[in-house]
Amino acid sequence: METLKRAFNDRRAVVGALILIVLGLMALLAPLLAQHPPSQLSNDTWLHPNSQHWLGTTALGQDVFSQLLYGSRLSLLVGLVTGLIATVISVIVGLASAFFGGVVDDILSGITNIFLVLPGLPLVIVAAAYLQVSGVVPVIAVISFTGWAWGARVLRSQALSLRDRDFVQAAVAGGEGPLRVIFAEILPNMVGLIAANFFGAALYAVLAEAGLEFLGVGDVSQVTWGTMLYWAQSSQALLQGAWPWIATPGLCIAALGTAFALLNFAVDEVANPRLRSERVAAESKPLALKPAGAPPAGDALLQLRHLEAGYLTEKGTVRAVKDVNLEVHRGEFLGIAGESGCGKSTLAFAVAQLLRPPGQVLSGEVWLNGQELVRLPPEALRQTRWKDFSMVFQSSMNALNPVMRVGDQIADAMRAHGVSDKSLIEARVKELFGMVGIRPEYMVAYPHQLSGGMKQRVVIAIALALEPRLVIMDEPTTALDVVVQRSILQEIDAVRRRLNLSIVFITHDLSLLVEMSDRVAIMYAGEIVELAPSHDLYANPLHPYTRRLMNAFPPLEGERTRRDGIAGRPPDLGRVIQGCPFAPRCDRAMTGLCEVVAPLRLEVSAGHVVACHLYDPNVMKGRAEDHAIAAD
Amino acid sequence: MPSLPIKPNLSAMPSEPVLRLEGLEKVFRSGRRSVKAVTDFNLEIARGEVVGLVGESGSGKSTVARLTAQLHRASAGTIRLNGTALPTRPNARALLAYRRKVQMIFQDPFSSLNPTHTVGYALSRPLEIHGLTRGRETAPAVRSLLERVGLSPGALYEQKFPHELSGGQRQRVGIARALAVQPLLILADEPTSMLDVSIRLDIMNLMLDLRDQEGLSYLFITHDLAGARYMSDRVAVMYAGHLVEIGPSAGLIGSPAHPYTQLLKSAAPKPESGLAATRVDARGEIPDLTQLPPGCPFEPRCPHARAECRAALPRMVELPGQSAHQVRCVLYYPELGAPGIAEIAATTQRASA
Repeated sequence: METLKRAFNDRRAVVGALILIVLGLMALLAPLLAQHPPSQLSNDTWLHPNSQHWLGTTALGQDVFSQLLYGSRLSLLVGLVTGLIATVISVIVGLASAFFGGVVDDILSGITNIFLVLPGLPLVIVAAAYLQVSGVVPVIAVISFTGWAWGARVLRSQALSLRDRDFVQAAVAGGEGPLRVIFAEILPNMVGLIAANFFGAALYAVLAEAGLEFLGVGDVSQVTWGTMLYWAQSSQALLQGAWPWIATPGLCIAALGTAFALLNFAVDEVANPRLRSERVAAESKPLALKPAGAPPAGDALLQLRHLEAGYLTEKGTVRAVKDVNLEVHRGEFLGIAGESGCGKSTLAFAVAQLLRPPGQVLSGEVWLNGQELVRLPPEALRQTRWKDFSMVFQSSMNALNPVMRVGDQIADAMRAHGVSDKSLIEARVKELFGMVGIRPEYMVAYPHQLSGGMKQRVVIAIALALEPRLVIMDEPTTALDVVVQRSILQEIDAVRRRLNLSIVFITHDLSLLVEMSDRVAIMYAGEIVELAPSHDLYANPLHPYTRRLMNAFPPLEGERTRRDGIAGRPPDLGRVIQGCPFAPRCDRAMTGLCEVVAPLRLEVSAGHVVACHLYDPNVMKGRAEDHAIAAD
Repeated sequence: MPSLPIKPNLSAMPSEPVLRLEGLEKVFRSGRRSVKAVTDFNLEIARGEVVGLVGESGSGKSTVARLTAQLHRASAGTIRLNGTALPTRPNARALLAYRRKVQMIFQDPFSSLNPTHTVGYALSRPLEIHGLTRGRETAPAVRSLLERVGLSPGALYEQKFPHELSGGQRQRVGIARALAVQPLLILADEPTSMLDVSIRLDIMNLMLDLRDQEGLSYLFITHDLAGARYMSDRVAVMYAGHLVEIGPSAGLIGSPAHPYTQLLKSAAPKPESGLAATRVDARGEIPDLTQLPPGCPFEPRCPHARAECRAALPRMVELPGQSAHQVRCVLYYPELGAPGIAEIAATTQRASA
């Protein structure tokens, strides 16, 4: 039911289905709709469309409309039957090949590959001419025989990738037998592909049939769209002005192709529940940004002023970064931590001006080294990027060019920014490799020859190539093993100290961050709820969220005690949040206060800022007085 | 804070362990290349015991789980369940009976549930396959399973598709699926590593609670030493397909004996000290498994390497006075006078000083 309802909501599916239904009705109701038997000859040749003959008549006086109706019967039958046969063969061969593997796969893949290189249409022509049997059966047989291989190959590779998926392994471990694994676990995930395969094969069959008939290789005594085209062409219908004779069968074939294509689009979405999520608005609205204020006066390298960023969706704006004010000093290592969905990655992208629609900076200023980045024209921004600041992401290592030696990729990044002296570049690449702990002989290696840790080192070397003042790192070592992670972090730290770099380091791993950073900012629901020198934060975490986050990491030493996670989930950032965003999950929330009034950000000791009512002397004094009154 | 609930010490009873892996080996072949992913792996898990299996990627820890779950066939070795050996090529009935007792939880909650099936379907299958419920009994059983893993009301969750659940909720479904057949042993392959920090503890606590309620045993696979310590009674450490150290979790992680375990521990985040204070010399990465040295696989990276290490693969030896704590390292060979103990103690002291 749900599935049908969804299908009806998709305009493409509805249009496609309507076209298909019209064509189907033409075929089914041909005897009722046709005013004349399709092959009946008469003396009324070459008539133009009129009330008797809606689409005119042929050179032999047959009614074109009746021919079109009856022609759709055989043409659609060829498409349907051939599509089914070819798809069934593809599915059986593809699944058997993928599931049994080994020798079975070798043999079936071999056969599939032979069929793939057979020139389809010429073979169909030769075979059809050779068979010389009347009717559509030989056409169906020949087209099915030559049309399944492509589908089998695609379905095999899809089934192979599904076979290794965890949910298939889980079904096997749960005791499911092979048939059930194939038909209940693997096959439902291939519905979209199988449907696409069927549509493709059916359309190929209709076209091939039309082509064969058009060339006169088939049985031209029957009425199909193809034979209509053949007779129209051989009677030079266009010269006689009988354009409907040649145009309408062509249009019908085109309509069928359109219907299949439209349905194809929709089928994937219907077959895969995961794709049924709401779409986001892809276009961002240009924002009227207020002119920026004066550049920062102090020694801050990076200064964020009231930065707000988010995503424009159909439902409204998701505010993922809210009123963030932050300074990063020269040579400072600033860590940002929080759960996923708290806005820390959006903040990194907003600072780097890398948010793409539907994401965008909504308001505020980003000052880097005396330049305001939000309002910087794209070309100037391109110049600044890499030279003044660079980025390393968790997935960066997978973005290396696989066909280029890693040393050349670093050189490339330098050339793109105007360094042209070859010997200078080479020396620099060698130096960078040393800095990030890769032996120079790896300069000529390709990315696939390197481990994940090595690739991430290369990415960091590229980020350092132009000696930026600031490097923004978003979970750069999360995918790596602990020992590799530690050694990369050590290199990063050493480089920072040597070059007096500033680093903004984002991770969910607070225990790691506390160890590495000078200062740590804790983000929750898009806001910085606590900011402190890291040793201070570790010794004296104030915000209840920070405390719970810290507690979420079991220790390596000391007594083994039971610890609890943080109940609940971060709030939906698409909604307006009243009061403190953490209040619903907070074990120290004060009723009537926290869920109503947003706490102020206050500096409670040197450099230690927290946004929590518990540390606001005015609030706590007021509450104490209230309690005193209530007690009286 | 209440201390961790400790199960009545069942392992002290002279009973057969739930699982015993004897000389397990796995060689993966592709074309002419072959990779020995697991070499001569021995392990016992007692009833109600949690054994943590720790190692980096490529250490073979997941392969051990998949061999034990019979998702891969072992190249050599024996798997004994309650003392009974599983045939090398078990027939369908023997395999089904084995799967009824040994279940698995997967690492990635986003790929371990079939996106085209509801939660209810995923949980009803193991019940039906193993004939635990039939017909109308299944639906209430599914709901009670969901409620046991904290997804309540079960009637709400059973209709959901995986994409409608959060990562933590999906992992709870994964645990419920493993629980459905009332197994003796659950193999948990990094069940929390893909989850947010705030829910990792909840999942680990759920697993511990279920252990206490049902007397389950776990093989808990992780790359996180602190997590292994939190969950496990004993910890086993793997390197390049070999078991290199095994012992009670507090003792092993508190004072690791094998140089590799020491490296692992030193690389773990230590918020109490600065990065510069705890410099670690990793000396490269895990070796290429297609060309392992004949001796100790860690020898090329080991700061304590000596001639004996290169001669042959070291055997597992007990630490003096701690029979439960064993290590695969020549430094602890009694016939060599356990030369390493003094040496390692000295290094550890230098590092902590």
